Amino acid sequence: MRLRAALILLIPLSLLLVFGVSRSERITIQGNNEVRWADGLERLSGRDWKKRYFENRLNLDLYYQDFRLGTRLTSLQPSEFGEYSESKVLLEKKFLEYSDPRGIIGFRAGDFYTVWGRGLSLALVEDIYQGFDSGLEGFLGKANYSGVHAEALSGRSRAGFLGNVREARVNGVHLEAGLLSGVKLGGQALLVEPIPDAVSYKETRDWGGYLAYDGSYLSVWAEHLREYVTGKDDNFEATYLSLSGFFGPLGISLDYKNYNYYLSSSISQGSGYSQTVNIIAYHSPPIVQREITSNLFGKHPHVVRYDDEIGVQLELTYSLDALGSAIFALSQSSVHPNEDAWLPTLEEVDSPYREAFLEFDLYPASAIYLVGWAGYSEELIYSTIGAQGRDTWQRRNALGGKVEFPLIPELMGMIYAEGLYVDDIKREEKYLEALFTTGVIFRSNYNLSLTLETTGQEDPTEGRDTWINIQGRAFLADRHELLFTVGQERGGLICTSGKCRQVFPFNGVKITLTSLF
Amino acid sequence: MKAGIIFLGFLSLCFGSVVIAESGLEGAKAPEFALKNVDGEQVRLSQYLAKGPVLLDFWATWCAPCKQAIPHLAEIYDNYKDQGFSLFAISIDNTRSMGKVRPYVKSLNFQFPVLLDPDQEVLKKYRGNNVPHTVLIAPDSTIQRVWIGYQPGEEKEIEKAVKALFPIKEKPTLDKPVEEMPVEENKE
Repeated sequence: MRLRAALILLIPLSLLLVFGVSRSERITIQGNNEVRWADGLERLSGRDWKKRYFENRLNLDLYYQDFRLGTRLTSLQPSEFGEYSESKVLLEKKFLEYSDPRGIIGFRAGDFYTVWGRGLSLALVEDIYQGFDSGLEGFLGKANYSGVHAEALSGRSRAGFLGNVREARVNGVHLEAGLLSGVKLGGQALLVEPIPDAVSYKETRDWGGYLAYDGSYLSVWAEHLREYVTGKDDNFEATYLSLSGFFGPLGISLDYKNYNYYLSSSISQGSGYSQTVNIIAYHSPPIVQREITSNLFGKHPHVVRYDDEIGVQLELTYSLDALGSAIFALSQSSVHPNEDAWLPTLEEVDSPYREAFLEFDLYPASAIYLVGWAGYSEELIYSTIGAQGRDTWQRRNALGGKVEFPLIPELMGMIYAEGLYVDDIKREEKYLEALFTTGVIFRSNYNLSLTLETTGQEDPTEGRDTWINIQGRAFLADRHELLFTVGQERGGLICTSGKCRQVFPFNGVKITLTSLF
Repeated sequence: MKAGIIFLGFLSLCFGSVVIAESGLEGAKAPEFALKNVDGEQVRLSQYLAKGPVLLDFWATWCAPCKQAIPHLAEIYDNYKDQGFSLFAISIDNTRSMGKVRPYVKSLNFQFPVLLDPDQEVLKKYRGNNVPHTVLIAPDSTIQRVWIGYQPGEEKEIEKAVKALFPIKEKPTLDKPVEEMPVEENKE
């Protein structure tokens, strides 16, 4: 305990020392520090449990000519979720990066992230707030010459968010070449091998490629991946197609997905994720549905079944000139009705999902901002395991809006209101949910708001049907952002970039302080 | 005991970060970067800094406050673009939604470069954890100001900071010819 406290105290002191030395050299140091702290009660299995976490992440980059040395010192006392339930102080990230000023070559040794194409074969990402990190530790090299871009990587995954099932060595290459005007062709090869003694992970070999075109009025993207898994006599494939057109103020995009990834079902005990949340570690393909819509609508997300899903989405964007813009989106998906199927169905045994969403962003007058939306979604999940039948069948209708308006000089008001009508056909229940927030914004640096949320159906896991909280934000001295929430927060499934996490109901205080330097 | 350690750690880290932050945000050298725009062309920061100040606006198609801020930033760009000012709207849309960026910006007819940063490497270089995140860079490559998030009215502060980077021209009088004033330092 004493050692830990000493280490924590040493962190800022050593940084101050390094910073002081660097002032007189050609080394520049930049970074940020984020503190996340909470104290309250979390509701699990019908009981309230003490929930307290303290996380500090200090990102520090040292620049010297064309080199960059990056570090992240992390202190978890303990962390908010998942595997890091113990207290620890660690040098979580470290890398040395070189970038040729002409952009011809570059490399990074240490921790790295990268995205290939649209992520069907590889997309290494980090989402601290979701507790997700698929970054690798090893070597990443990049080269650009005469319209050809090449990347090669070799690294070890420490994907602790999935327990130890994804401890693996990852090697791969990616090539992209510009062909005719606006046309490019890409190809990738990836080998993922289990670390000796890793649990139940299979060796996989991925081959992928894409063809893309960006013209004045049209964009096309077609990408395909084939995955071979040791010991699995099955075809694992993924296909994504996208067609976009722009006609004056109207933008149209039509997207298609056909995913049949290999999905490891072995999640270690104690992981912050449950088996029902389908996560693929190194791939992050487009989800082909709207994910972030509105507060209430977004609390009933569709979890993408990466191992078995076909879907389409149509999205229209329309400019209303100085008045604002409008977006309309339609999406539909289902599991594969049969091996050869390439379009989603609405048959209930194929677990269909469909969604429509319309949103307006408007500036009707000076300093007034108005957002309005309406949404509809329907999800039926049909179980084919054990006693077959409908697991879930819900229809949801949302209507909401937000307005910001001046009150007096330097003080603005904000009102957010949303209603969601849920028709739970499986449970034969119909109920209304509502969310109302009102607040003030002072000099664009200080916010204070009060939120009230209710549901017509009390969830036994929540133990309540009304939630009240106060949220605030202060932007101090042009470099510190302080956010706080006091009160009750509703639980539920939160999805970001197709990666979902179960959040448990919380009652207490949460503070986040971000400082830039 | 444990609560005490946590509290002590919290205090020391807050103090450390605040002290460091107070000492070195403004005037730091802006990290160079090259990103592809939505048409697939490579864009380098230094090319635009040679012409004048650059405002980096990190945003995403799914980010409501970002979309709220962009029309205001576009207005600032229109006001100062003839004097060499540039605005980079840097999308951090990842593979989930990067296909939506081009139709969105084309239909809304953005007149400034829209760049793609799907792995958020440039956002991290500019100390960002989230969007919107806005950075103003002077032509000498020094960072002038950083804004975390967006709140209504913030565009006035941004415009004031941009304006401070341009010479002020005085009206001609009989006894004093027109001359350019020195660049006024941004003291925001």
